[in-house]
Amino acid sequence: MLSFVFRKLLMLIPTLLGITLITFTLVHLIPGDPVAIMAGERGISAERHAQVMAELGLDRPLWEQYLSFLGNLVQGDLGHSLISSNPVLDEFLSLFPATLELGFCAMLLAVCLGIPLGVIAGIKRGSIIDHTVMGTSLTGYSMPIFWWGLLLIIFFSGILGWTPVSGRLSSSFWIETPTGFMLIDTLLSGEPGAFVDALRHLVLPTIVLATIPLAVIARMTRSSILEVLGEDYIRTARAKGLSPWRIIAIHALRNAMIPVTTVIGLQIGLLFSGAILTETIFSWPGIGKWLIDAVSRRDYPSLQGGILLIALIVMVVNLIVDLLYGLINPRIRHHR
Amino acid sequence: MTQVTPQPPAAVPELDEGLPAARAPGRPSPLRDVWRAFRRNRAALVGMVIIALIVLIACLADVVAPYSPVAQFRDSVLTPPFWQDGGTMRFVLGTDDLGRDILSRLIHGARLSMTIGVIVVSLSLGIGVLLGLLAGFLRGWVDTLIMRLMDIMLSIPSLLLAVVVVAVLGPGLFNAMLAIAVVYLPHYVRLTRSSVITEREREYVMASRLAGAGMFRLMFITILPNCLAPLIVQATLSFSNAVLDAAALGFLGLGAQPPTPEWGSMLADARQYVLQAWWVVTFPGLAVLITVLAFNIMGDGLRDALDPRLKR
Amino acid sequence: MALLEIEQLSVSFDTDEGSFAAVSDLSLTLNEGEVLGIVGESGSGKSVTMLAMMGLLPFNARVEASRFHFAGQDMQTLSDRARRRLTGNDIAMIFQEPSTSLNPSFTIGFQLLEAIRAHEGGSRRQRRERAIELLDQVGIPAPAKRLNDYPHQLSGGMNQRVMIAMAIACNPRLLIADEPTTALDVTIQAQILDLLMRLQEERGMAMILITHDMGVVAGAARRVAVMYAGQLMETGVSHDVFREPAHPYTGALLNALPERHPGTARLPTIPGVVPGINDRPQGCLFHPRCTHARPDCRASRPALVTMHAETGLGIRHVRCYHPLNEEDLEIMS
Repeated sequence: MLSFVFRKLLMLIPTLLGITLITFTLVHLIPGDPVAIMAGERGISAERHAQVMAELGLDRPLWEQYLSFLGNLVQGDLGHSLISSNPVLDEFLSLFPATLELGFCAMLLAVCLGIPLGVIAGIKRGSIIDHTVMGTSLTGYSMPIFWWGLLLIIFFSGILGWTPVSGRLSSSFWIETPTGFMLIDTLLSGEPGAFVDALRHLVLPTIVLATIPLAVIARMTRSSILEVLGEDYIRTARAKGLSPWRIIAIHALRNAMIPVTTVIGLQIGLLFSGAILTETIFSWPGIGKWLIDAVSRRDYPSLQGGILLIALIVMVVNLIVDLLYGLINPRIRHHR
Repeated sequence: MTQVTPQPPAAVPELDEGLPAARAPGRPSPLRDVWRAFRRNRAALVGMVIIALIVLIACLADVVAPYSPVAQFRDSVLTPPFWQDGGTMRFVLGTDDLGRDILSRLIHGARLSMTIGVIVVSLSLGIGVLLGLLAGFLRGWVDTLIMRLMDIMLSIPSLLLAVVVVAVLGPGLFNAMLAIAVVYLPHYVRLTRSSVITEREREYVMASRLAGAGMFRLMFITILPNCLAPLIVQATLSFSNAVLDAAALGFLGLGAQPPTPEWGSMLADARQYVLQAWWVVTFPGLAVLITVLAFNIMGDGLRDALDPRLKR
Repeated sequence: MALLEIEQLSVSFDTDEGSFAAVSDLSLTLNEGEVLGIVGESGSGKSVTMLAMMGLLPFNARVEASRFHFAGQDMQTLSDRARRRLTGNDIAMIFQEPSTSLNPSFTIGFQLLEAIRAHEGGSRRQRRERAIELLDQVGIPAPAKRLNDYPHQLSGGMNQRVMIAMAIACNPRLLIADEPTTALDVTIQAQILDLLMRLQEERGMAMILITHDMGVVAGAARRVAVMYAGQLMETGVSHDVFREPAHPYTGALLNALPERHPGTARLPTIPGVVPGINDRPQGCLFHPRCTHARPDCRASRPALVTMHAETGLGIRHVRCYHPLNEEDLEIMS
C-alpha cells in the first residue's frame, strides 16, 4: 500500500514539471509590460525601467528565467507578487482557507443531498419523484451559476433581505482569524452573533457552488443504484429475507458508491472553476477571485504560482480519491 | 465548468450491430434505428424542438428582432417588461441601462451563442480527433507526449485554463472561443484514443490492413466511423458547455466585449442593477439556461439512442 | 400434508411492448423431505417459477395462482414482512453464478452472519461459532480464517459452498437449488451435488433441483418435472420417466444424454431453440421441433392429462396428444 502511494506520488513529478513549463510559457506570452503596470499611472523613466527589469530578472532569456523559477520552486519559493510584493505562497496560503471553507461546505451539501436524492430516484424509478429529481438535476447541471448567484441575490438579499450580498463577515465584527476558516474563527472569538453572521454570508455562495456537483452526484448515484439493483448479489440478499432498507443501505449503496466516489473526486477539481465565478459574484476573498485579479493586473508570478498550486491540489485530491477507491472496493485493494 | 460525463472507456457501440431483433426487415439502417430509439424519448424530442426554434431565431434574427441590438433609446432607460408597472409593449422584455431593447439583444445573442457552439465544437472535435487518432494509432512516444499534455491540461481547472489562454490572446469573443476549444481538447483526444485502441485490435481492421490499406485509410476510413457514436454524444454535450463557458468568460469581462449582445457579457453589464432592475439580469441568464438545458436533454437522449448497451 | 402446493401458477411480465407470459398453468406439489427435479432447456421458465415462489421477481412481474400454499400458509395473502420472515428462513435458494451472487464488497463472514442474524439471533459469539460450523459442514477448510475473505479471493466452487452454507444457515424446510453446478468446473460439479444431497438427507429438508441436465436429476431426484416454454410437459417418478418417457420432448432430452450413446462421435440434438417471448407457436408449444408432430398438434394446445403409471409408484402427467409408446422408444434407443 505504502509503495503504491509512493509510486503514484513519483508519477506526479513529470506532470508537475510539464505544468510548470506550460504555465510559465503561457504566462510569459501574455502581452503587456509588467514593469509599466507596476509603475501605474505615473509612468517610469527608461533607465529606471531597465533597472527594475534587471532586478526582477525579466531581462534575461526566457529559458534562464524558467530555470531560475524551477530552482526557486524546489526551495519552496514561488516568487513575489508584482502588485503587493508579498511572497506568492504567503498570499495563496492566506486566501486559500476562504476557498477551502466555501468549497468544503459546497461539497458537503452536494454529497449529503445528492446521494440520498439519487438513491430515492433510483429506487422509485419512473415515479413522479424520479422525474422531479432528474429534471431538477438536469436543470442544475445546465445552470449558468454566475446567473444563478445573481438570481439568489435578487431574491434572498433584495426581496427578502435575509442574506448579505458579499464578503465573509459584516464589517461590524472585528475578530482574529487564526485558522482562516470563518466559521471556526467566529466561534473561537466568542463574539455574540459573529458565527451566525458568518453563516449567513456563507449560505448563498455555498448553494451556488454546490449546484453543479449536486446535480452530477445525484445523476450518477441514480444510474449507479439502478445498475447495482440488477446484480445477482441483490437477489441473494433478498433471498435471505433481509429488509428492503437493509438491502439498499448496506448491499446496494456500498457497491453503488464506487463509481460515485470517482465522480466526486472529479467534481473537486471542477470546483475551482466554479469558485472563480462564485467568488467573483459574492466578492468572496478567496483564490478564485485572486487569480482573476492577477490576470487583469498581469501579475505573472501570482498567476503562475497559483495555477501550479491548484494543479498540485487537484492531483493530490485525485490521488486521495484513488486510494479511497481501493478502500471501498476490496477487489482493487487486493490486486495492488 | 466542463462537466465531465463519465463515459465507460470502451463504450463503442457498433451501429451495425445495434438491436438486431428490433430491426425492421429490409436493408438495415443504423440511422433509422437510432432515430426510432431517440423518438421514444419524449423529453429529448422537446429538447430538439427547442434547439430547432433557437436555431431558427438565430438565423432570422434580423427579421424577428424588433430593433437593432445596439440601438439605444435614451428616453426609455431601464424600462421594465410589459406586464410590470411602467412597462410598455414597445419593449416587451424591457430595456437595459442604455435603453437597448432586451428582447432584440437576446435574439441576436442567440445567433452568437449558436456560432460559438458550432465553432468551438468543430475546432475541438477536429483537432481532438486528429490527436486522438495519432495517439491511439501510432502509440509510442507520440502517444505518451500527447496524453501527458492532455493530463496536464486536465489537471488545471478548465475555466482557469480558459482565462489564462484568453489573457494570452487578449479578450474578445473569437479568442474566448479558441480558449474554450483548447480546454475541451482532452475529452475528445481521450475518447478517440480509447476507441481507436479497442477498435484497432478487431478483425475488420486487421483484414483492412492485410488488404494493404495505408495508414491514412486505416485511420479515417476504416476505424474512425466506428468510433463516431461516443464522439457525437460528446459533441452535443460540449456544444452546451461551450455556450455556458463562453457566457462565463463574457461575464468575467474576458469574452465578447460591449456592445456585442452576447448573453454572458449582457449579464456582466447588468450586475450593478441586480437589486434595481431584475429583468436586466434575469432574461439573458434564462436564455443561457434554456439553450444549455435543451442541448443536454437532447444529448442524454442521443446517448441512450446511440448506445443501447448503456440503456437500462 | 404437502409442504408446497401450487395450482395453475402463471407469471407474466409487463413491458413496453405489452405483457407476455413466462410461465402458464403450472401445478406442483412437494412433500416434506422430498426431492423434485425440474428439467428443461434455458428459457423454459424453470428459474422464473422458483423466483416467483421466493417473491424475487422484478416489479413488472405479475404472479397469479389459484392456489399457492407453503406449509399451510397462503403465500398470496401474506404481507411483505411475513413473507420475508419465510424467505431465507423456511425457504432458501442458491443460484447459478456463485461468484456474482455474493456481494463483492463484503467478506463472506459478514454475509453469512447477516443471514444467521436475520432469522435466528443469538449472541455475537454464538453466531460466529455457528458460521464456522456451517462453513465446516459445507466442506470449507480452515473455516475460521475464511470468514474474513472476500468472494473474489475464493474459487467458484468455494463460493458456491458459501452460498449453500448461507442457504442452510436457518435450517430451511425447502431448499431451491437453481442450476447450482452449471457455472462450475466439471470436477467440482459432482462434489457440490454430493454435498447438496448429503445435506438434504441429513436435514430431511425438501429440495427442488433445477437443471438442464437430465443426468443430474436421474441420480438425485425422486420425482421429476419437465418444463418447456413456460409449461409443464411431463411429471412423474424419475425412475418411470427415465425408463419410459411419455412426452416426445422428454424423450428427446434423454436421447441427448452422452451416456446413452457410448462410443458414438456425434450426439443426437433437438433441432431449433425454445420459442422466445413473441414467437410462441399456435397449438402445442413443442410441435415445431417435435419429430412426432401431427396436424392436431398444430391446431390446439394440449392439456396436462393424467396417465396410468406402470409401476404404480406415482401419478404421471403428460401434456401431449400422442405420447410415446414402446415402439417409439425402441426406435430412439
